[in-house]
Amino acid sequence: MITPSPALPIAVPLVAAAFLAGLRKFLRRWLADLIATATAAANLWLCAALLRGSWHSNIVYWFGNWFPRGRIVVGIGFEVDPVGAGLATLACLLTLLGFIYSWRITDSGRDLFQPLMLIFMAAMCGFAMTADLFNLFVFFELMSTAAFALCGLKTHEPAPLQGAFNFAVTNTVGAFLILTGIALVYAVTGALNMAQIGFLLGSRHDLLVIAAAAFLCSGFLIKAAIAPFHFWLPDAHSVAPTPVCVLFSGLMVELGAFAVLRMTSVMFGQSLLQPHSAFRSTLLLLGSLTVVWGGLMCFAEHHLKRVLAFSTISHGGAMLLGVAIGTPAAITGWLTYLFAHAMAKAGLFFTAGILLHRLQSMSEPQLFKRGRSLRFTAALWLLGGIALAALPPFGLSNGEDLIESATHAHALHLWVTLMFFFTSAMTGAAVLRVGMRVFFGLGDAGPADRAAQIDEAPDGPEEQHRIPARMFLPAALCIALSAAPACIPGFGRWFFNAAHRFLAQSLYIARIYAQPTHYVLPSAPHSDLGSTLMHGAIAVVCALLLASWAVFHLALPRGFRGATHLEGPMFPLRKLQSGHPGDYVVWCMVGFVLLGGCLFLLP
Amino acid sequence: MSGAWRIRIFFLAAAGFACLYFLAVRNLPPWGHYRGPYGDVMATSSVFQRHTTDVVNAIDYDYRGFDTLGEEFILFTSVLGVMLLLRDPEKNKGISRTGNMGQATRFGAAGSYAALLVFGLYMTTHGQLTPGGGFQGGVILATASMLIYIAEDFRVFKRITSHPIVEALDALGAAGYAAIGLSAFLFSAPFLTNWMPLGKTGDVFSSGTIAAISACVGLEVTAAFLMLGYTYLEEIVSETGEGG
Repeated sequence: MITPSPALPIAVPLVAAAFLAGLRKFLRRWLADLIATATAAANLWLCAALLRGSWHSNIVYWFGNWFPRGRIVVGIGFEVDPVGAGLATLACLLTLLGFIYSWRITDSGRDLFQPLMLIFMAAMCGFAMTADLFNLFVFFELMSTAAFALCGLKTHEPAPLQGAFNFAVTNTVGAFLILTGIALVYAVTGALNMAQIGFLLGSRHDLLVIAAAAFLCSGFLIKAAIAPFHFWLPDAHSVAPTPVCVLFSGLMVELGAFAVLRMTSVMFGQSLLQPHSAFRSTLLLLGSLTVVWGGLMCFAEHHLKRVLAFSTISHGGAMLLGVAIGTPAAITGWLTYLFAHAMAKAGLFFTAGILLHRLQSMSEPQLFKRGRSLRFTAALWLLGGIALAALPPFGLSNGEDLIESATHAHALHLWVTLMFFFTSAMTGAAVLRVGMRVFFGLGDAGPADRAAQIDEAPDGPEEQHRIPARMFLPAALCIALSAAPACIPGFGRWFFNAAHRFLAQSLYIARIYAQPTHYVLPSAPHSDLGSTLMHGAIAVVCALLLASWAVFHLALPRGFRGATHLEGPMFPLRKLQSGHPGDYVVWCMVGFVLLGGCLFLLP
Repeated sequence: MSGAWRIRIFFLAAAGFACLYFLAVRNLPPWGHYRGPYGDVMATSSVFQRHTTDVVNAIDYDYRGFDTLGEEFILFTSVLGVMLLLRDPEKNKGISRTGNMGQATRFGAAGSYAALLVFGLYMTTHGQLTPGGGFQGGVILATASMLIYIAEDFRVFKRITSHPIVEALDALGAAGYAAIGLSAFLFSAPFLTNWMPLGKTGDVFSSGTIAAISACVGLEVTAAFLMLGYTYLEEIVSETGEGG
């Protein structure tokens, strides 16, 4: 099989998007849907072929044939490694499923939905594969621009415009931080290619490097929705159409953490990423904060998409812990977790979309008892909840186990295990609680909060009594695929190879300069089925207990009574989620100072 | 967060930001001490390699042309986004214009329009020789058309700018850039390779794909800004009560 040019997964969807947008007044809806779906499918094939081609060594591609002259990189290059190609493939797969789900049903904003989705997909593909720091920023901006517009698709209501506005403001702050970081790096190295920067910086570890890293990482952590940068995410998710939520939660947020790891491993590999560095401690701190914050808020919400959005935040924090530990085994775990989480979360969002389509509401109190006849939907929702609680055979359990076993120090191991347990139990409990109330009609309708009252226009025209099979198909496929890393034997070895290559800075730089590389794949670690089963079972039991406690108002022992406020409207963390963009920008600044301060002050 | 607390926390965080920023900038190379080799390499080699006397455009449309493709699509996407978000203009519009302008205004506008049109076309087609190029020329061409709105009325402006052909030209400009990039595949060269004849340095028809890409960008930017102007005016200008 020939490996296609890495430019094609970017150029093809962009041309298709321009065609669809330019002729939108002349194209019928079904034709526009057909072209968009076919383009996404073709891109999936292209990216999968690239993934195959990058299996043995990274593919390097110089745009405009401007290969490096000596040590100076003249043009823009892609370096496609298995992680980059894999994330691009995932982007295409989720976009394709989104098109299938929304085929001729959802409001397409006068047929601007399809071209914007294609541009979004192209930007994510480019973001995952580029080796150039400024090009990474360009694709970050392209991705954000498409995302802002898609987020506000249902512009008939005031909420979507506000959600899209908050999203745009906070992410633009992130773009400014990244641009400042790029300027600092360029001022000292005169280079924009990440490999060249990594070669020039070497093990340099002074104030300037730390400051540049603080700027760059804060910018991308805003995209990654790491606390306290995360406020935009629930507002954006609660208003965006279902296929857009799938792409946001499944991949866009994770790409933020991917960018942090790609930049630091290639540019600052010998300074920031040394074992026990301040950088790793900072990421551990922020990751833990995110896990707790996201987990608590996930349980406190009563708007289905906001529940899922906060669960994404909590899981994103857990994934950041894997990035912080950063050994090949931990990165293998991170990749496994990322894939399984993307699939489980996509499945849950599709299922929520089916509920919205059928019952015209996303509010837990309003949906109470109304889903009792939807058996298949209920099964998908509950399976998704169990997948989030990391019970085998769902892939989150393998990822969790790999990350936990990568920590050697006893205290850290205990802490990371606790964090993963917390995120599994809290997010699983929230999803199961919604399931118990909506599909089984147990307990009462539950407390209502202001966020749950956000009216969302359904994706389709009016209340539907039949749900077409093409809406179920993506949901069921996603939930099934989230079990793939555990069930298909090749997956583990593949993730391990990808992780090893991702972290090998010298390999990455050598490929850019076309030097010979020697790479021997070490043997993959095995995840212990017994311990994953035990961890998963404990998390699911705790999640069930928590959900039942909330649904049936079980009495708590003295000393835990304060926890009853968790679901109520007076929960203090909820007040911080004010919806005011000024607040969110202030929190971004606080986060930047926190991150920068930790990098400077921690030993 | 109440307003007072927001401002307090903001100033606290801003002080921290200032500290970090100061530490970073203080360690930069001093003013005027350019470190990197990239600028020097470009300044000396681009005239010989690409027969273009405007090095900035050589970098924009050739050496780092892939970034510019992304940036062109950021503009394209932004315009799609604005059209998507403002597709249902609300009814309470602020400004309503009545009556046409006087003859003097119309005459002046027509003259300026012709001059600006020539200037914009010059900018777009001479990017490879002097400062300018598709982005700059396109903005001039689009803003020149705003004179129609000033001299005539909104309905004339709307009839021209809301025409589907403007959208089609916008897309054609955007897709054209990518298509020029893809055309290099015919010569089994990488994406965006400058395969066209480079011509004589200093000629209008020189520098190969740089001029062609510049023209595509000019088309895209012109159409995009026309669509932006129309969408924003549609939002604020009421049509009732207009006309002579």
